Amino acid sequence: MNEPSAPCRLRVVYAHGPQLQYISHLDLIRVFERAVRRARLPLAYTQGFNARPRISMASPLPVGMAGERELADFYLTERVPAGEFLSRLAPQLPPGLTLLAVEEVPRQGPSLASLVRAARYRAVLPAHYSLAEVQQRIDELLQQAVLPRTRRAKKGRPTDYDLRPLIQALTAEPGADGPVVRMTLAALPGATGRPEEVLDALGYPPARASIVREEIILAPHAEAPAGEAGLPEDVGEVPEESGDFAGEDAP
Amino acid sequence: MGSAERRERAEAPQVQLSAEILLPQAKPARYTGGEWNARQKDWRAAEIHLALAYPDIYDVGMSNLGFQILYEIANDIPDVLCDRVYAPWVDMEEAMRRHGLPLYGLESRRPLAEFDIIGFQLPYELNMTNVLNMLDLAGVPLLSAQRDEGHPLVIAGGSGAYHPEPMADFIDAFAIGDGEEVLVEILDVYRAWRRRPHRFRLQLLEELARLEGVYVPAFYRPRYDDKGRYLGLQPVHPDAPERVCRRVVERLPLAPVRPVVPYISIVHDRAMVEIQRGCTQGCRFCQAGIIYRPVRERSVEEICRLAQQLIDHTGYEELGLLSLSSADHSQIVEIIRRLKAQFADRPLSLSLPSLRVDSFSVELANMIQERRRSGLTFAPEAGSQRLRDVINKKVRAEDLFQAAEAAFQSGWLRIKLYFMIGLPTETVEDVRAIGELVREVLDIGRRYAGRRAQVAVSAATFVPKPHTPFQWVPLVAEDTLAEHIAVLQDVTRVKGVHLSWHAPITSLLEAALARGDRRLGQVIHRAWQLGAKFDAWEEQFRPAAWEQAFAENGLHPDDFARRPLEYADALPWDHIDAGVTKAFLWAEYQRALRGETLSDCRGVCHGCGIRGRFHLMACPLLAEEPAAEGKPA
Repeated sequence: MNEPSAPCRLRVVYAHGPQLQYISHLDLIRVFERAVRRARLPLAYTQGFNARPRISMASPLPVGMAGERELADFYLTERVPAGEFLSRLAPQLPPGLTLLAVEEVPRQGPSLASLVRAARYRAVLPAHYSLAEVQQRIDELLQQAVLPRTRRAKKGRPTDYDLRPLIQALTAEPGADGPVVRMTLAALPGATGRPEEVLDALGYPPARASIVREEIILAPHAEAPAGEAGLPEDVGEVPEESGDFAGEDAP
Repeated sequence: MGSAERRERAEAPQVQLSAEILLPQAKPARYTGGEWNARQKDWRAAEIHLALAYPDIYDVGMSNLGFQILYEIANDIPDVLCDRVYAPWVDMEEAMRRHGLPLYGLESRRPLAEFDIIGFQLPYELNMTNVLNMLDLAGVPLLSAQRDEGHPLVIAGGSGAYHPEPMADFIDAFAIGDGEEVLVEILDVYRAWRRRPHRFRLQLLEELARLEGVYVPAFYRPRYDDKGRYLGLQPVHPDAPERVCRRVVERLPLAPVRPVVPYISIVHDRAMVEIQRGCTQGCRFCQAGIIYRPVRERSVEEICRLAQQLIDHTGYEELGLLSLSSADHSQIVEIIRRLKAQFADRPLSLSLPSLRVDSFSVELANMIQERRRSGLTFAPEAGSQRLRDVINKKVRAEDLFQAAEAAFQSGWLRIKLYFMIGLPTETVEDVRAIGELVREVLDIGRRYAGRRAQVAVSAATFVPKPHTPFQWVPLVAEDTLAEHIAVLQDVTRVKGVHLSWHAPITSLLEAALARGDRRLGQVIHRAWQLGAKFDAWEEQFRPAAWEQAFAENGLHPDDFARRPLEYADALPWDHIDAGVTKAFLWAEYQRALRGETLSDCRGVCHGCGIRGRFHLMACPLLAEEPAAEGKPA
């Protein structure tokens, strides 16, 4: 993604609100693309017959989830100051997408997705669930050495993996609408923890909870990109794409 | 009804959509609205609440230009709130019924039953059961006769309204023809009626019936003879005209420049500029070629201006130049040249649907597609010259070969050819001729692209449609069709040729609904009760439900689809005046049987009747004086 046609790379922090929680990752890229075009910003495109906009997302947001500090890199064919980019793009975004910050990053650096290490989530459980019990279930779960799970893939065979090493932090606290479960889950190629899986492992139906991705945690700037660095041992193979590409094979 | 009840209705709660309902859906964003350019108007401030309804899924309905046109026109009226609703796919319908959720407007999230008017677009025969299903999901009584002042007014328009009888039981009023002006008039009538202290539904229907282009079926009674043959419609109300003349807007109104931009990918995910309405080709099977007459071109200036606004307001990466035959626009080369220059600073692809079969069209395609030349589509429709003369498709084999030559030579790799099977007078020889055409096209391709050259053949069953010269022709017999399809499969079994054909199983129903009379209302109703919906979707089509529905009503689809008709016979759409005379259509039918063609009427008027009916100074209505022989650069 470092073609000479894109001398400017801007890292955008944005909030992905609940109004847009039902659109897929691919849809979101198109929403951004069209907004950038409406703003008449010089978006770069890939070469080739199927020119695609050069917008790289840190990590696909699963369908049904909101994100408070999502990350994306936009590549432009001309230098545009970060502040100007923000002020021109913001009014072209549909309700549900809010720009929080824009900064220019070195265009030669590693891809945004390869910098992702983990993500923090917040899940609000229905109000009638007792916080004490939630806490107890968390304690029990964290005491487990392994948490064997099976991921049902839309295509291909189901995969067995261990959820336990993907959980970096898991706590509960009271909330206005019900008990709040906070978790930090690993998000590395081949090892992405999913909050619904954690809720399910706790014995709570994920569909009843409202889940928000609070933040995507990137590797410190100094750290080398990608690789298996920081991975706990014996991590089960987990399909990389965590976005639910809902509906791609719908009628 | 009293105003108290109205106030109560206006404050009905919004429909709450939970994650539990939406998350399992194949594409939940079909049901949540809020797209770019969607209009958010204050429910309480609006005097008239109009729900535009499309009887197919979001992905299809959102691609419809007419729907976007009416959405923008209605919302531009200050006191009108116009919302959208599409048929929920079966997964969503199941969830809605399970949770007791009524059908709702996407933006307002108000139950459909709370709207003042529900306006259906009827694009196609095989959507009819979806109209019933949507009314049922909305909790609105299906039958017009069952609805009172407390229910929404249910109207319908679109090309399906040109043969309204099968849906006459369910729709209060049909708007026939161009909808841009008549929709506004209907809203005016409704507003005036609403402001009356005492309101009766009958008065509303009477006032609607007085509008030009509006057909109120309750004011007519069908007559049949003792053998069940249709004898015509009898107006039974003084406000009901003998015939309802369709609406025509003489100057093409400005197109929508702020269309709703979907979040999810839809069938035609692009900006659309209608460069021309109507078509002068005169293909005898084509309903659109009749009911959108006269040809009205949009000027180059206007097209370029609209395109600019559209792209600025949507951010679309593709612009479709829509018309029934794009290459026919007198300024088409200039349009493409100007648009390319205008958008040179950003990647924007142009698309030209419905190209003619000639090398000029290939040159146009080359102009708009400089890099990615994958597939071009042509529609010769019939294999032999004899049959093409019958249907008045003025394409010679040489035209096709020259077009293929030009296409493969300039780097296109795949040519798709559309044909129809079951055309009037069609013989096995005509079908065999398709094979010869296809093999010749493939040979041409091989010369330029070697083994990468491909020919795709797509065959559909010919279904006779109202308001066309072939409206009197019965649907092809089943055994003939089977024989012809077998021959087609045989003659296209060539490496490099791929054949697909539309399952003929729905064609019988389509033909019955196209040529049927008011008795079909009960059949549609019963079929819907037995589970029929999404009839155009092969995997959803339920032939058994339809069979039973016809049988229970003592009818058979053949009574309508395959009934041979004569000039003297009353046709169930005779009371709809499309502007073209029946005498012209009959003369065309007779010329077809004699194998005589009729030239494109851009050169010479053939007296179809449209000029006289609408007192047109000129026809076709060209945007500019034709330029000197335009050739692509």
